[in-house]
Amino acid sequence: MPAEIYEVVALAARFWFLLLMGLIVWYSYRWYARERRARKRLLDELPDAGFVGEFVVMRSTGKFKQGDALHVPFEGTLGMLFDNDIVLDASGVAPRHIHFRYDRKRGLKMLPIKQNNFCTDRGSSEDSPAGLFAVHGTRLYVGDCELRLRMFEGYEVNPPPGETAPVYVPIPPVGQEAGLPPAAPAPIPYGPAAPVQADGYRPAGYAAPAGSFYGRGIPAEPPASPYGRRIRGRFSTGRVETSPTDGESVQTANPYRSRRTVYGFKRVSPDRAVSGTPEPQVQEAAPPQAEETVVKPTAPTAPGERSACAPVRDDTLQTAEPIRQEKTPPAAETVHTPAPEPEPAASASSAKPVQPKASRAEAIQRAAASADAAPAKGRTPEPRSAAHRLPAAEDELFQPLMDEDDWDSWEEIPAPHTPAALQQPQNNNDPDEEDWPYLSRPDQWRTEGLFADLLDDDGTDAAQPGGAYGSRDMGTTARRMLSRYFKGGGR
Amino acid sequence: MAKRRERDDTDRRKKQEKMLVYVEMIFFFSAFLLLTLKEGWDWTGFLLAVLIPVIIYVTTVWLAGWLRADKLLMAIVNFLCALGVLMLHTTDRIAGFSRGIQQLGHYGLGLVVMFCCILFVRIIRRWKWPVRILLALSVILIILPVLIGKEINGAQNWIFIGGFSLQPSEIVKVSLGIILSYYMSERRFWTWFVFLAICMGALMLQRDLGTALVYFTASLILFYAHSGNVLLTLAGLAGASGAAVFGYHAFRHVQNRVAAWKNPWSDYHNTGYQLAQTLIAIASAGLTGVGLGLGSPCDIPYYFTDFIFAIICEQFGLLFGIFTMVLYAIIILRGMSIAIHTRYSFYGLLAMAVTALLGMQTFIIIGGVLKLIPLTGITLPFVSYGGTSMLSCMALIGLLQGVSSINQDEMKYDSQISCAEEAQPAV
Repeated sequence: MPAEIYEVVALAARFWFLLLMGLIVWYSYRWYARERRARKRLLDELPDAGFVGEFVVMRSTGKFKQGDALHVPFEGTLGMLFDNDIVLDASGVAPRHIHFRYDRKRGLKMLPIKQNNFCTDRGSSEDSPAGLFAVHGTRLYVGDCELRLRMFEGYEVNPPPGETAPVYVPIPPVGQEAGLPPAAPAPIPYGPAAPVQADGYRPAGYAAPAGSFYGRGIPAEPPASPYGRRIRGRFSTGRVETSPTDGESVQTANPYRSRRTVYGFKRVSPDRAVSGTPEPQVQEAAPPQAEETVVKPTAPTAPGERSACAPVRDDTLQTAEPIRQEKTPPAAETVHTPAPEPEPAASASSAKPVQPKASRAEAIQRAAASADAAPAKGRTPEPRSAAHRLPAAEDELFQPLMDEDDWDSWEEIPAPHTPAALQQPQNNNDPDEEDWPYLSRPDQWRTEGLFADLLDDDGTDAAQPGGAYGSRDMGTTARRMLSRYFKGGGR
Repeated sequence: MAKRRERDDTDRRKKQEKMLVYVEMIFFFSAFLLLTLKEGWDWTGFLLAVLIPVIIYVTTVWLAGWLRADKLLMAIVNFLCALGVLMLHTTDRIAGFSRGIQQLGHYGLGLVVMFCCILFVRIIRRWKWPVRILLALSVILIILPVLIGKEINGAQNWIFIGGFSLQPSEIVKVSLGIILSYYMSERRFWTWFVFLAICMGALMLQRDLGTALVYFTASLILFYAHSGNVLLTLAGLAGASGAAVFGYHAFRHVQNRVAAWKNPWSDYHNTGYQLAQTLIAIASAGLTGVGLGLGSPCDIPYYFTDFIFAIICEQFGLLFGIFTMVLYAIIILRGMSIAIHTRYSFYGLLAMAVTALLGMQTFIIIGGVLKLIPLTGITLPFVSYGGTSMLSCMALIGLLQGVSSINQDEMKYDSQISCAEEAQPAV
């Protein structure tokens, strides 16, 4: 091409190249801006994205209230300053107190920063310079705060080095003593889709030595009182004798209460914010001696040292909280509780062995298990989630006589499913709705208006291990997340 | 209805993404075709006119999708690399070299390095031993020019081994990002601090002040991103100012460069010639340039390395130069976005280190060419001629792409466990 023509073409092509360059910049910027918006929108719909769980405040002297949740990212620091990933503005907490990092296989690894200390129910940071691992349900004592970890994912994790794998086996139900077949261990699948652990389960592999934090945190099955053994055995035996089969008639008279009253659901204890660690069992001989939580100092606090280990509550000792709970039983209980005269509260708490009220998660599990019997009474069996198939203890409906003194009067009450009861003339295969002795299935609770103020959408009080968001409708997910974490407020 | 709308949005998004690639392909095909027709038929130009668009399409659309890399980053980096090949090929026709073809080889090798780095980041989960090995190699490499280096243009930062020339500071730049990110995330202050001090000391001994400036500013940015400590960051800035004053009084060529920056016309035929020619080229081009293949780019010393941005402005115009800077800005913004959205501090710091290194290098060289700051001898990322520079920049982008792909995996996992399959992760 001649130089003159090339010069003309090149001069004309300047605008062509400028136009193309403008288009390239424009498309690039639009691409960048669009994906930024898309990511922001996606994160708005997934408020838990980037978080592995949350610390639920169980006890704090600072501005945090019981039940407040602090989101836990994959990695970061916990401290008092605002630029920490978890800001814990409470006394005894250093500006930067703990460095944590999430390991999908082992849990949340926590290391103290500088000379700070903290404790978990597995031990103290002073004793574990390599760091402490926290899993779902682990309690963290830092400064004056007691936090409990509630994980969104990675619920089942491998144990720390030196410990055996956590094989969860159910605590034998007390009803087994009365001749019930032993409950088979429920295998909990590994992975984020693992079902929520029932409170009646304990990690058998973590057989911590006696006297350690972990050993005290998960006590062995306490011996049942003679009274409890007798009553539970009778009740369980009654159920076994009358366990219905297909086509068998069932009783219609409900000797207990309205189906809309479920024991164990009247109280939402902050201790039950996380399921997975068993509720401390009350020992038989422990006297209800005080109206305050019994604590034991576990690590000496050096003078001038910032935030030594907070006193760890000794769960093996009896606390007054269940006693206070039992002093005010639900109204329905008193209606259906036969004869015995109520004792004054002082005498009731003085000498009688106290059975703690079932926790919320326990009651859910038990109610689900009791609902398993429903198909035999004319209902169509439907597949249920694995969490609902967990074996339940057989003592779930035994609650009401905590404050009663005349225990023998209970012996005279006919068992609910005795053959005599089944032969009553009003018995038929179409039981009256109000007299239905079993709780409806968990998937029907919401439609029937049961526990609306207590249950999550998944029918439990715990986060789904596979993520706190489990809806196919993203708008519903977002609203639920907002409601759960921000109490209905905006972000 | 909602699903159909989302599907339409996805189709439109993919169409717009491909439009960017198509426009880039058209740009380079027409540019190389124009150069092919300049003086008869040039088969080399025609080969480049076909090859460059094919490389852009394959790497941006196919390979990036296969490796889950960031396609936007890939498209912009491809454009800048191809722009460097185009500018070098343009000047080759005038000066009689073959740097364009050589740069094409560097570009291809850089793509391989980039994809290796993506896989490196995606595969390695435990960085302890890789980082230790990198640390030992980096210390050896950065000290090597002090011992056996050859002085070029006042800086003793090149080594020659078996006929190959190598600039170790460019290689250490990649490992610097990894090492600093790892030890900062591990909260091991002294390890990274001592390593940085060794690097800075070696660069000062080599009198490679431009690279030292890039290292230091990137480390300072990284330290602030890691700690958020304003006081210590300001203290580091004050220390750097003191070191700059000391360097001004200690090195003669620093004084010359500052003098040339203040008034290039005062010593036009000697120290100010480079900068004066650069300013003349940019000013004479105007907004739209003198035309591709025209002008006098070879009048500027080192037009193919340090001053290639002046050549771009001369041939395509100042607007085109501004657009080029916008593309660099998008790379930096994208890198920061990737760094922010990481789940682990190491990956976040790594993305931030890469962004800081590339951003500071771009700012220092473009600011020097435009007479905003005193000129230092470093290359324009992805565009300047040089194998080591190209490989190191592509390796840095590969690290950034690897972090981005990890981010995409994490978001995909979140979307899956929340049953939000329709939601497409963005970055």
